[in-house]
Amino acid sequence: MKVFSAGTWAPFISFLASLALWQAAVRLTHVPPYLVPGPIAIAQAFWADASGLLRALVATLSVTFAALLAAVILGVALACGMAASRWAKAAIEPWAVILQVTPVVAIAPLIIVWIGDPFTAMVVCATVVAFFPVFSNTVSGLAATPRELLDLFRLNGASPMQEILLLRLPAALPYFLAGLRVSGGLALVGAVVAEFVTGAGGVASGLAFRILEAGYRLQVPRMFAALALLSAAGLAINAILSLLTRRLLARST
Amino acid sequence: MLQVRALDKRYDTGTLALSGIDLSVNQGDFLVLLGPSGCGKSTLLRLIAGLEAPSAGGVIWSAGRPAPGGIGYVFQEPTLMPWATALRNTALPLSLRGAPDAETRAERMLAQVGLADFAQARPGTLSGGMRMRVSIARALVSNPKLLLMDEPFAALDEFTRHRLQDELLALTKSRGCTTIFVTHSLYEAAYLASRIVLMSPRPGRIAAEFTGQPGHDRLDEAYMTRVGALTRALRDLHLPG
Repeated sequence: MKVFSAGTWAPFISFLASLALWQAAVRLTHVPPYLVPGPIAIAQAFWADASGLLRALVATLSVTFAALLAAVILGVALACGMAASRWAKAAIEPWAVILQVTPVVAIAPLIIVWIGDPFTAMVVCATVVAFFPVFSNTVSGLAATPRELLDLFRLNGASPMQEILLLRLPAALPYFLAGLRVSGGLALVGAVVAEFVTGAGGVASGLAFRILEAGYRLQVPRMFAALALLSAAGLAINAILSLLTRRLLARST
Repeated sequence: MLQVRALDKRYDTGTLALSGIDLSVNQGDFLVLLGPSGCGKSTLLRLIAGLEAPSAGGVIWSAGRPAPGGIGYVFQEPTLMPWATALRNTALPLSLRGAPDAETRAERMLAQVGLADFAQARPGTLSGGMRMRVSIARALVSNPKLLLMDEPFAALDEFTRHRLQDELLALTKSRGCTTIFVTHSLYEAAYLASRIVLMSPRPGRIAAEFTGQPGHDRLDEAYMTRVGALTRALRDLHLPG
């Protein structure tokens, strides 16, 4: 057990040192908190409405996870379709690229017009953002299956279904997981962008809306508190997906 | 067992890989396809396996094309599935057909290649020689009539190669398994083969054929004589490099 290794503690120490430096700088320069609040002011703003901000976090995270789930299901299904037939590959690929290169902010108003329900509209927007990495990585992974193993499956009379389930998908797993990590981060970005664009307020509104709202009211410490929560959520998503990757890949090597 | 008749193979790029191959393989043969890189010997193996289609001519089977699992194939790399145990890798040809005794038979097969204690090991934890043993076990687990091997020992060190050559001879002999073995090593051909087919490149043709009982003894006079004969044949043929 290397409890005291530099890799474990250095990030915490540098984080705490940065906070201390920040607080000291704010104190010494007398910057008003509505421009740059110190960490203490931000913490106070958080405690002042912790339940409201956490509810907003839950709202944002539910959009994020719904979008990530949709992106994974769609991405893997379409990638399998593309692996199964050259015709499907040629038919699907251009659409995937169009979806990727078109800025979601530009499509969002259309999505909102078409889908009345704000939650569904936000999930669709975030899915569009999160879809591509998991899709394109799975496509690469499915295509990178060693030719000899494919030959071996054919020699032994494997069905196309067996080939996908027992060979191509397991072979694509490392690629899929790398894509999943990127998509996880993008799903959160997509959820925030969707909240900004839809401007969905009310009880079920997410963190991005809280940031906008706090901005209008010049509650800058509250803005920072919401921002810190978003960063923490992004870090947590990344950590969970990294852990998942390590667990699953440890079994395959 | 099978006859290759007037077989040509032209790639999509227009290159003629094989030209006018005539070859008959008899039950119980240990036939070695010997030749320099790029002479089409691997392609010939793939054509016999049915993994590629010939451009002209074809392969005629005396008892019909073998059913799935009737041909064992060993590649140059062990090409195991890294996420599956040695046992599951070995059982693959049987489990793909849903054989209920797949695991028991795979266990027995692994024991025959000396890996009884490594059934639950993943390929990443095995040495190169052990991985090749698993690959051979996988090729033989379905009791194939024909075993095709594409330079299986080329990437192994000399010590491991000698041991695996001996183990392979014992396995194919005890099972009466017909074997076609591709190599570019004179010594390997001289040691293993009951028949040696020498191929020349661009396009791949059969240049010469040698028969005779292999000595299966690396210190034996007969083996040395055979190496000598192959070396002379190679010099006299003036094969393009």
